[in-house]
Amino acid sequence: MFFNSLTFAAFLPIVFILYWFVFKRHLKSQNLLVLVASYVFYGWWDYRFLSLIILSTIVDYFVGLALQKQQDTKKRKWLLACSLVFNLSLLGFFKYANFFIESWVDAWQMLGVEMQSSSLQIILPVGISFYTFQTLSYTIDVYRKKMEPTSSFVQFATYVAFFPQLVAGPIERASHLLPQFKIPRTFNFETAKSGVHLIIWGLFQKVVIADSCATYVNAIFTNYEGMNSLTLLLGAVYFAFQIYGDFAGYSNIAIGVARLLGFDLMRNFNYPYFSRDIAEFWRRWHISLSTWFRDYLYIPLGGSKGSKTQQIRNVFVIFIVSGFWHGANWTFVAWGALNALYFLPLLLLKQNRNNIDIVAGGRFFPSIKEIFQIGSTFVLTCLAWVFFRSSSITDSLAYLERLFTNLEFKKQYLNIERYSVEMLLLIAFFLGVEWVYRQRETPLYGKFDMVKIVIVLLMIIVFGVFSEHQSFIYFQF
Amino acid sequence: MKRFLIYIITTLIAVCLLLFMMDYIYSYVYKHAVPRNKVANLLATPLKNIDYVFIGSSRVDNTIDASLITKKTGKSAINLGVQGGKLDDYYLMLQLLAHKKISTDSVFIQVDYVYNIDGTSEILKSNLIPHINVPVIDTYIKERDPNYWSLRYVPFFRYMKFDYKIGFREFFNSSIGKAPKHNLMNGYSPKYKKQNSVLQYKLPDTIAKENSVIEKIKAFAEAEEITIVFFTAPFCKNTQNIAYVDKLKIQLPSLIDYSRLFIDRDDYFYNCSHLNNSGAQKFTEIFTDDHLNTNP
Repeated sequence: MFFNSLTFAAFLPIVFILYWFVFKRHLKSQNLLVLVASYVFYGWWDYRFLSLIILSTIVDYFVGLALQKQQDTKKRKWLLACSLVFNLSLLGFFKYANFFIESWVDAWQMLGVEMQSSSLQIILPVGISFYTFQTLSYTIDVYRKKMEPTSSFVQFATYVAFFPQLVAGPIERASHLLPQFKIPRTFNFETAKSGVHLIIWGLFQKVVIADSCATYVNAIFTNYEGMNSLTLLLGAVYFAFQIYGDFAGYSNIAIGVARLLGFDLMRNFNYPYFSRDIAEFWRRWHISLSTWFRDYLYIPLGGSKGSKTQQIRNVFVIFIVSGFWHGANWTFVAWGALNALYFLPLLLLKQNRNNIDIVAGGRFFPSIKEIFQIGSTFVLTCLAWVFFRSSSITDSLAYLERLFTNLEFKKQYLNIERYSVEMLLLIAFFLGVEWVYRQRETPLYGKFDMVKIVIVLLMIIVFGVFSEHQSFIYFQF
Repeated sequence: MKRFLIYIITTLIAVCLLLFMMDYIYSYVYKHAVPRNKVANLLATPLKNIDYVFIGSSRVDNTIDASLITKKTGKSAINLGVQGGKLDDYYLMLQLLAHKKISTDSVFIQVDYVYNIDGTSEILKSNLIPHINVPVIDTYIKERDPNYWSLRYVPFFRYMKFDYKIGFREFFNSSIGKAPKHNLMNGYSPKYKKQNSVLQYKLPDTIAKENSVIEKIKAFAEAEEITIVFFTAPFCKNTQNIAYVDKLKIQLPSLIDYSRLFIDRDDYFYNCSHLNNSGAQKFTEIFTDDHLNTNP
């Protein structure tokens, strides 16, 4: 079920009414309702893959309980290993099996040995990367004794399958979300209203910004060989806004829907394109994943401590693994490695925490220095996005080569019957709004909220892309 | 909760009002603005007679230069070919001519592999949607689109569903009176040069036993006393199963077959099934000389 579908528009009010009016006074029933709703939400896509979520839930539920009872360090390690092996094997099989088979065949072919290439017919279960990481965080935290495991299977299952964030995050920590299933939720008008704001703003980001950009991005990236430098540059910029609008839009809707049910989910994006360096960008982009990798991979590896060699290794490990998490393709690995290269100088010069405050705090306009910093960070990010969007490394390199060697800057007419520059106005408007409201969670909250809502709704109706249903990009991860 | 419900209901009312308002504005503009597509042009035309009407897919749209016919014969002509057009669409065009009470001398319908296909052109449908209130169009959509009810009665749904063609961009261009790319009274959309260096195309292996729409077209023409002529436009040399056209001639004995006319002239093609401007000019000239009265 997609958030931007009529099915979900019917599903959400039904869940809302049952949740607050029918099961209002009974916590267990409310939790059970959320669990059933979550399974319906997921099963709408493919009910067969529900078995994976249920299996993962059962394994980690019992591992959690066993970890609590077990005091022997060695046995506790074994239990943790069981959970890790089980979850990562599921992820590895469904997401990476074909990639490893193909890479293996390619490697032998490069050595001149011909091998029969055959891929397995594997469907990638939607959201597997998200819920796998969520259950892993539970087991690891219980193992580290940072939290007590839950004895309620329903609560744990609801935590794993919580429908607002099941298929594309934010990746919630058990220590943050799980306790919320234990306490009665009370309806709060301001919280619910902010939820509606997030849903509307998320829809705007998705159907107006991301999906409009997608039309241009697809036309440009598919025919990049016939495009000039200006169009290729715009292609990269449009993709930057497509993926941002798509993913931040989804996250905002997820957080908004959770708020309607009285839950608080972590913020996933914080105006990343106003970052002044790459380190700041990674503190503002896909925050739930970055912090997951920081806590469960980077810090255990030693983080920024240790020798220079160790620091460099750790940075490359976290960024490459993060890239690989996105998809089974070398393009994602290259995207991760490129970001590691961007980040490394900041770390080595100890400048990675230079920009932790709000940009141009207390001022409307940024300084020249800030404009330069934001601009250069955005350019670096866009270059990396070319790898992320291309279907192969060869395509990304050819795209970049043409971008830097063609040197023609005339607006081009695309096969989608519009000029390559036409999206810029909408993006400028979007950036302007984000800039003005960069200190707030969404631009809609605050004074004249109803007027702002009407304007945004009007823009969704008029500028939204509804004819070509665009799935959320992060569903494929 | 009560406050929240009031808040949600207010927001939903705002959405409904916006949808009604935008639907009214868009419909008004599309009805009154300068026509920017063939359907709008046909509905707006004051003409009561067009001597030669050409109907078909892009193989008419890009192939018949109606102004050249007028120049050679002194008679009026129009190209009503639409991208991706199928037989159902051709039938609708005939019905629209009748709806507008436009009399014709002859209607030429291009038929080829479309004989095997059921379906309609999404591009044409998007042009029709703003005029869904026209009875002929209403019936056409009702019989062919499962979303008919929503398209007809949910405000603005039709403009959202077909936003890639009649969304804000087209609305804006219509409101400022921007002229269409090609002259709609002629209806010819030329293609230039060659799309690919290698020309190739494949016609179907087999032909359908019958096509119910063709029969409907024939019956309609007879009832309305319209002269219908079926023809097949040229294909390039490298067309597989060109014998399909021979089978088509058995099904439509009156078919005028030009499929092999430019078999040695690849320079006349934009791609294997579409002529470029030079080819279209030459073909229109030959067609006019062969079948239209050039001595007014």
